[in-house]
Amino acid sequence: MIAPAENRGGLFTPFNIITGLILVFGGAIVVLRFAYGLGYATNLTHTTTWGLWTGFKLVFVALAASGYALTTAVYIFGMHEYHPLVRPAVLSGFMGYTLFVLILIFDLGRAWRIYYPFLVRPGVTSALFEIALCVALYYTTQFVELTPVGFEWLGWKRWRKVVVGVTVGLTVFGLFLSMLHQSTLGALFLSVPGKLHPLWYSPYIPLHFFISSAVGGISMVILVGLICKRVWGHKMEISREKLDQLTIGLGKGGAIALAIYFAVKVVDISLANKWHYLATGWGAWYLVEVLGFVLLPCLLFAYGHREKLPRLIRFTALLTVLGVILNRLNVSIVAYNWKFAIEQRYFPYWMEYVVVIFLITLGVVVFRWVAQRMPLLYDHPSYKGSH
Amino acid sequence: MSPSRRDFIKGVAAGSLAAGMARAGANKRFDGYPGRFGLLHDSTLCVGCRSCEFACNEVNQLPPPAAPIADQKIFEKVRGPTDKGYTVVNRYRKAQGNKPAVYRKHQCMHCNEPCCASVCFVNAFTKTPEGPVLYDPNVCVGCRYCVFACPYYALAYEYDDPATPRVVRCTMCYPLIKKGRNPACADACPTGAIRFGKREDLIKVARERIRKYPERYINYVFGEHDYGGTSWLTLVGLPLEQVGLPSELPYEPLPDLTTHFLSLAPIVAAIFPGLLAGFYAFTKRREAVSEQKHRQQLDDEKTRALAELEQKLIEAARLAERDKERAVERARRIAGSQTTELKPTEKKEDSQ
Amino acid sequence: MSLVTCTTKQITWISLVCLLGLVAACGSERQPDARAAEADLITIDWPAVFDPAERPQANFPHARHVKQLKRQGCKECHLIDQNGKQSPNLKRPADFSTARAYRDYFHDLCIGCHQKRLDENEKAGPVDCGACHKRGPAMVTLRSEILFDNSLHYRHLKALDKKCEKCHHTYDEKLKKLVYKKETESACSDCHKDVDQGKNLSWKNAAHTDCVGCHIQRKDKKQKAGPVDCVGCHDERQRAKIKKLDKVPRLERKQPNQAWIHTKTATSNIVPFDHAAHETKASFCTACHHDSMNRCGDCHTLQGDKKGAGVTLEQAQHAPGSTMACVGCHRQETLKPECGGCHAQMPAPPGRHSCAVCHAGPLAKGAPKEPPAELFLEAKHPALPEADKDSFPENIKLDTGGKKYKPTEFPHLKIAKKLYTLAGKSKLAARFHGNTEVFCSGCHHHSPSTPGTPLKRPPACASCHGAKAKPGQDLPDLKSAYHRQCIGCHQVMGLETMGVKKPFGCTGCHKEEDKEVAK
Repeated sequence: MIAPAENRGGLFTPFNIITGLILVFGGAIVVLRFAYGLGYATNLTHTTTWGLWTGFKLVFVALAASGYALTTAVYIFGMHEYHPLVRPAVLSGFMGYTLFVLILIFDLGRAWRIYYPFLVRPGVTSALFEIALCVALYYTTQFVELTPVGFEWLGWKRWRKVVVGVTVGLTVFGLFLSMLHQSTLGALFLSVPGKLHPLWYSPYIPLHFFISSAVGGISMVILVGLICKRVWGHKMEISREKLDQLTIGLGKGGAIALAIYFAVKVVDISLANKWHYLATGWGAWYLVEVLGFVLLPCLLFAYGHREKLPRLIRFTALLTVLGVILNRLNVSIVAYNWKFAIEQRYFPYWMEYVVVIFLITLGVVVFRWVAQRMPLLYDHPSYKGSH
Repeated sequence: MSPSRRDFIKGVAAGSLAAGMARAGANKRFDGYPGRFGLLHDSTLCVGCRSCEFACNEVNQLPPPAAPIADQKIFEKVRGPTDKGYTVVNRYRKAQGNKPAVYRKHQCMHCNEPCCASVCFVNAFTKTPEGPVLYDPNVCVGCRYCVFACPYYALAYEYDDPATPRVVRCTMCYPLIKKGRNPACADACPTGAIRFGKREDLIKVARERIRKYPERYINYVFGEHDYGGTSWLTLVGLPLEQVGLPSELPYEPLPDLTTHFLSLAPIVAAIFPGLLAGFYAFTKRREAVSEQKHRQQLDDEKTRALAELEQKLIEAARLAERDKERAVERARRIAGSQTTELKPTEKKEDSQ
Repeated sequence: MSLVTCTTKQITWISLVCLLGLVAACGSERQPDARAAEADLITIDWPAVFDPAERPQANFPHARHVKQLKRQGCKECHLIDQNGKQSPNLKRPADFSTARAYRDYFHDLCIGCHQKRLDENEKAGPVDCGACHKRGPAMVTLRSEILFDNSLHYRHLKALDKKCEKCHHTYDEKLKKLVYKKETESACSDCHKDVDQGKNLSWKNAAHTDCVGCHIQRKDKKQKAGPVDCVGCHDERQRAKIKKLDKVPRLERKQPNQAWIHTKTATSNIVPFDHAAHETKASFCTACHHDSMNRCGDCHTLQGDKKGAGVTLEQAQHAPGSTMACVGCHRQETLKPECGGCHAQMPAPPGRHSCAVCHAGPLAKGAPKEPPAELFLEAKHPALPEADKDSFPENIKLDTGGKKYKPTEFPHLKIAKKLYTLAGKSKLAARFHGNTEVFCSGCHHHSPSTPGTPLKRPPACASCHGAKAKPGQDLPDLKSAYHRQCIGCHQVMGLETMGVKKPFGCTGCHKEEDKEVAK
């Protein structure tokens, strides 16, 4: 159980103070955004209407793939040694989707109508409709997958048994929903071939997004494992050595996924004969993204797995996560409207940055709250061995 | 999860997604509603007076444009439709000597296959049989995917309204054309650079003008086929890129790019649960097989050990028997020297 | 240190450095050459063969080399041909059979020379690849062509004492050599085409050999001569310095003064053509005699012939878009500001009423050998009618029934008189505006007021232009018709109007309606 506040250093620890300030300030900006409208809090224009918040919508969902990645590995492909990481992975995935929903609410013009696509008038030809449906279902699935954690904490044995019984079904459901909405997030950009730079635009964007989400998910699991060990090492059930072993194994998965991603990118350029774009300034930036943040981590993962270097794998996981963020921001903001002169290009307003930081902080704080109180990193003694 | 529950969820997802895919099955071409209206904008006749902007604002109950009619400074930057003016006239080339300046009016093109309508996830847009594409603010959630996707940058959003922001754009004055009148801009244009009529008639007029004045126009009616065709047709005298229009657009409607991909969703929904259940079953089977092998190994060990043990017991019994006989022999030899032999009947009693 | 034994820390740092390097690379695009591409810049490339090119084209600054090699002179690089004239060809035998040979030729030539000079401690060009094969956006050359017009021709004629044989020649197929036949002189481009055809040099090479070669010879003899460097002919600013004669005496080649334009099998009235008068209108003979000095009908037959590239005689005379055709050239004249106010808004000619103006001769059968002089008397522009309140009003009120602006007073007589004055200055207008009705149909178009059926007064615009445009036809409504006619005319004629000169807004022509009436 968790020690009372006085023993932990009081309520006003440095972490609490900093995050508290961020949350208060960010919360105030959010209130202002709703009071005065989008134009007040953002630099959005009529020609660039999706900005930093949309970019981070994509980022949050891509990095929340840790949930489906790990549950699939453990329950469908039977890699039970990764079981201790399942709960943190699913929780971080859940937080990712929560942040996605929150930032979506901030970005929508009339967020209170968010249920309209389901209950008022579905627009089934829209990629966004499919995303909304799948995310809603998936969010529910993830929530249900996490309820055993809460039930163990609350001591509701029978509820817990029911949910654990349907774990495999939830995993199957979650994986195919994830495949659908991760790739459909890429399909959002299919309708703008003239506005997105040819190197990033492709009829196969959905495939790119799906594979990079798997990549991001695996890397997030590695990073979440690292952070959990660093902060709550004493509470974590598995040892440092065991975690390192798992990390190395995840590194192998990361290497394979990144290799597939790189191959898909090369084939994509080849199919549309886009090689000549690589010799431009945009091409150089694209090469930074693909060579520096896809090919390089792939090689580093492989090397780290072979030489059994968990620290290298963790560094590479960070590199990969940055690469996924870079890719999502490139597609949604940087390479969008690439033909515009610099005066017409969009640059985010400072309030947009504040809201993003606010949300990330919120995610971290909630994760921490759960990890410190609930049996996330260890098996509850009453239920040991009953997974 | 029991099959019935899984099927139910599958059905809900697939059904709602497949509902919109009806057109995909038909193998016929749809040329658009017959007799629908359009507008022909001959940009070589546009003199940059911007009366259309004033008329449009008036009819849509917006304040008039900030710059008056004779103001030339407004043309220094290329503008786009905004929430303060749904249409704009831009100057793309300054007057040079006796060569007049080149202007063009820009607004929503009212496409035959509108991208905005296909990407809206609450179906807020409708392509009417009369031609205009209409927007329903009563269902709009404000996601602005339509603004994002429009290839002509024709839509605008009311960012400054916190409570009731709408997507705003040219409506082709639908209420007016329903009454048989012209859109406000067509009535306001002094030179007839904007002409309203049936789309098929306007294409004829456009082709006639190109034939009559070949040195005045490029040989192309923009909007006839671009991205499936638009209701606003444009005649220009300069190459399209020089007047701010995209050139060499495919004839395929823009929504098709997304629809082709989305049609995969119900198929994935149909295949993947079974497929993944199969993977799971395969994994479970593999585990069970290895479990069984393990158990089999243990059994074999046990059997072998038992057999060994039995062998040992038999051997031990045999040895014991041999030892006993040896002992009996010895005892007999010893007893034989004393000549007394036991009677066979006593032996039998011992053995019972 | 091999990769296998690298520690995690080392790998981390190496990857970060590589990443930074990649980021830096995307910002470091080479700056393009700041020098603008002068007219003397010659690009050495062969796109058809070097595809894709390993390196960008090499740019050769000719003027710079001329300056540096002043002492050695042109013959340092250039070949002197059998006539003693400098050829544009280079001295060393060129092997252009393969791409490799082409490349090696220029490398040996250029880098060889540069290296030799460097060895002798003289200023020389580069010997490394990138300095000649510069990356960056393609240079736009300022080189433009020079037109050898009548003025230049006459100056050459005078300078060479009217000895045509100094430049003109033809190739005799039988004798297999160049000969000169008087009165068969033609334009260089009649034989010298775009590329060398064996010994028949391309137009470019022939001109450089003969023109520049001659200029160099004369300069050597200290005589007055034309330019010897590229920019002298090919740079716009330098060309502007060439003296231009105002009045050029007529070229004497025993060409006809007046002649018929007709062909054997044509049956209708033939066309009398004032050749002498037209000579003053064109900048040089090739404006009409574009491929040979022969008659049009020699190559352009009625049905079209291979010699005439399939263009029929009718097209050769009537094509409105080509200045080599009669109609096309006349059309260009009518698009000038003095005439364009009406003519720019008319569809492409020829219109039916103008046929008889050109086809003014008799039937082909029995026509005299040369056209009689009466056909070439100067035409007088038809007079305007007297101002009359009913048939030719002074002012007309233009009213579309609109609510925003007051009706405008159109100064009909003033405009008609002004246009009449302008047209009267043009001989072409005088001949084609055969009668007043034709002249008036500039504005009163598509109406019965045309030759043959003159009405006392043309119909009002509103008779055809209704309140709405005619569906399916390019017939605008009345308001559009007025504005198109007026503004269109003002635009072409350079008068004050919307979009040209000082635009003054709508109220420049019509006042705004009073607020009470507008409501």
